[in-house]
Amino acid sequence: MSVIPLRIAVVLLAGLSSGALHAADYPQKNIDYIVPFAPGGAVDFTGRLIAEAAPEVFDGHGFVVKNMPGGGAVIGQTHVSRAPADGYTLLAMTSSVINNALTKPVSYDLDSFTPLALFNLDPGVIVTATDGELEDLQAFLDAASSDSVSIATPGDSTSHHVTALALAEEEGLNFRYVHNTSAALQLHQLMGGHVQAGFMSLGEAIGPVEDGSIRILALLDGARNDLAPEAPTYQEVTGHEFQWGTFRGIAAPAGLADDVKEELEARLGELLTSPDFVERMGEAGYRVDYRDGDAFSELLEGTAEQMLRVLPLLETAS
Amino acid sequence: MDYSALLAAGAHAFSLWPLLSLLAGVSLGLVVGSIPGLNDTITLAVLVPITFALPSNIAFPLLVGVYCSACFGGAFPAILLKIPGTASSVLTAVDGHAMTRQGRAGQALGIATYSSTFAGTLSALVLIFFAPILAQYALRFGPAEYFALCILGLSTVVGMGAGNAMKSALACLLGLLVAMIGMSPESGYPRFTSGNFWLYEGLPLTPILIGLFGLSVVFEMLSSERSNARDKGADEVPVRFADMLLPWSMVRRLLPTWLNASALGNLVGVLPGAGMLVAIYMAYERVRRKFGERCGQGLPEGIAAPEAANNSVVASSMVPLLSLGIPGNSTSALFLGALLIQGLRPGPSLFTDTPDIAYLIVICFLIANLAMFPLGLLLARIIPNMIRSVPRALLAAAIACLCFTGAFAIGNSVFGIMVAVAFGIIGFMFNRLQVPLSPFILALVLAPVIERAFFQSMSLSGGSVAYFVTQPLSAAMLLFTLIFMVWPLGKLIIRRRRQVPG
Repeated sequence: MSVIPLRIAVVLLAGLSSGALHAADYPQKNIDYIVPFAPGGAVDFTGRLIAEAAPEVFDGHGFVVKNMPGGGAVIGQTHVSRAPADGYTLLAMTSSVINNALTKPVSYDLDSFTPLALFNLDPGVIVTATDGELEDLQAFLDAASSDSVSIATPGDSTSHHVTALALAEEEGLNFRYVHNTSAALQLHQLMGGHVQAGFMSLGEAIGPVEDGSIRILALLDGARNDLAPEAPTYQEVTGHEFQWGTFRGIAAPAGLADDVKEELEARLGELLTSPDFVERMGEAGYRVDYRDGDAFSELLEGTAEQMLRVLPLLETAS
Repeated sequence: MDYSALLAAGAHAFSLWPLLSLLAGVSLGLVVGSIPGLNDTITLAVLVPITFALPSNIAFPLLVGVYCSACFGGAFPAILLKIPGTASSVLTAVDGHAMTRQGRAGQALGIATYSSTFAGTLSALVLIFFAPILAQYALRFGPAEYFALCILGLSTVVGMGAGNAMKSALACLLGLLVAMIGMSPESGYPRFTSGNFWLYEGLPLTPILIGLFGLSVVFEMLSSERSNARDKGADEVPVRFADMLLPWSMVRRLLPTWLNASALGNLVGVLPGAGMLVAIYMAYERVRRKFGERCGQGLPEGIAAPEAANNSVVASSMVPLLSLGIPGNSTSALFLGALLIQGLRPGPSLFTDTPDIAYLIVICFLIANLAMFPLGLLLARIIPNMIRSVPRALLAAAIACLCFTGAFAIGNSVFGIMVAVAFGIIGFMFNRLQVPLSPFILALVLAPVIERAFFQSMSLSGGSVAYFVTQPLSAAMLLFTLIFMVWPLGKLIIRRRRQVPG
């Protein structure tokens, strides 16, 4: 009889002590970094750069990048939203969390996650083939308001599709959408002259722009970007403000203990701003724009509001 | 073309570490390819992060080696067990396994090795010398052309039923139906998903293939003593080295098939997103047209065509990545990641800015294909005897384990296993009812591309179907499709007419 209570006591004690020492104990083991997309894309790629730098900052414990593609990132996002909030499961967080929560019957929303850090902001661009007939943004706008312009998107309901819908609504433009399944096929159609223009992120466009196969008509950001200094912002040309972009960050499930959150935020901040990481990202064409958890939360809220405004357009479009 | 850089890269590739890592890559590729459930994409996804820490002259030979040899490795279980190790050897299994049952496994493996090496080497040369030209040709393919090409590919199922057109048409339609599951590419509306997120992007292809070909064979092995006895007779014949070396007469006989299949593989392979399967099926269809009924009964050309086609696609799928910076399939998307992480940017500037690495990569494709020959023969000597030495029940269990592992690894989820089991049962039933599996697979793979291309064309043309015939390339392909469809029917009518008076 006496053995069992003793065991219980030991287990309880162990439980208590591990709770009390949590902050000092973290991290105790490797951390799962869930990429809700297939290997090879920008989110996967940047995740692997983070994993490469992680052991130095996380006391020798590594980030294990796990690809959980499917359902338009719903599978991976659901997995993290339901994972224990112990700091050992992190999500590569993109704007698709917001899109999915608003457009699909998913079991999570923004509040299901604890945003920890933002490391990359990628402004949207409107692009066309180098030898395309649309000279500049003005020609593009004229063509789209008098007639219609064919637009390649990386997929229905993607952030870039939504951008185009919002622009069309705001300026009274006519677009014919050609939906693809990836940015790669989108580029193929642009370069082959099968569509007149496309919406994508600067990070995806910059390679082919430097090769001279596509050109940027407008940058959908507040100011010009050093990656493509010749590209004018939308506002410069038209006088109207129109900004839209994608972002890449890191989040944990909601309900993270405060001490673990602090620990994670501090360590991620150190990692994401380290000169090595910034250099590696730069080599691959990504600029690091670090923001801490609170600033990231703010950005997420703002994007969600923007999405809510556009949502009716998406529904009528489909 | 910078010949001095090409020569320098060639010399570099033969120095110790690059060569060793290339050979290691080729060996690894052969092994993972021959394991049902593992393939080049999974292997590269695991390897690419490891190569971050390696210098690029070691990293790329390793990756190229794996990519080149994995689809050849898939031929081993296809021929010996009728389980395609990778999707690319689905058709190799048909004639390959028929030959094994006739006790000609050695010759079948030899044909696969020769065909893969020949076509792989040829397309590596094409990659080295003609990549920019092919890339420009690939760009001419827009939505209408993709639509027409896939319809053309689909028309090859007409003759695929080994004499039973009804059953192959049924399999094809079932494939199209299964492909309807998932979100509409046009509106994002979820079809047949009953709110299950796992079905939003459609059923995952790899677990389906694992089920249809891997698990169905396991069920077959376990269910029937009769099939046990049937296979045993063939397995008694040991594979000898001499069987695998083809006589000159055989090489001369297969040469036209190799050239045909390579040409198709190179042309279709450079199109981003068109996929390897179209090339393989079209190559096999040409053989079937030529040999008719003998196809599927253990015809050497039936192995040579798909094996030559799939190895041509491997190198040519790198053309859009290296020349345009557009990855053509999931495997070259991983290559793109590997290039970026080494600080290289694929595209036209790759060969001018970093010629040493760019030429090293294309040279590695050539050497990897040549290295496949001796390594492949060596493996062909070892594997059959290994399979024979394992008791039937253990073999079935081992295959089942590999299938489950592979199905899980795709999305790190049990859902993949469930799909594999479901399609294992379906595949088992298909085999029992003698419904061919290959039209099902082809339809399943092509349906999403056809649907997307159709909607894209409609959006571009403002809803006019005439768009498909006003584009010359697409019109030509649709015309060929029509001829392919009508031809067998016409022949049938002519034969009937002749028979009536007689």
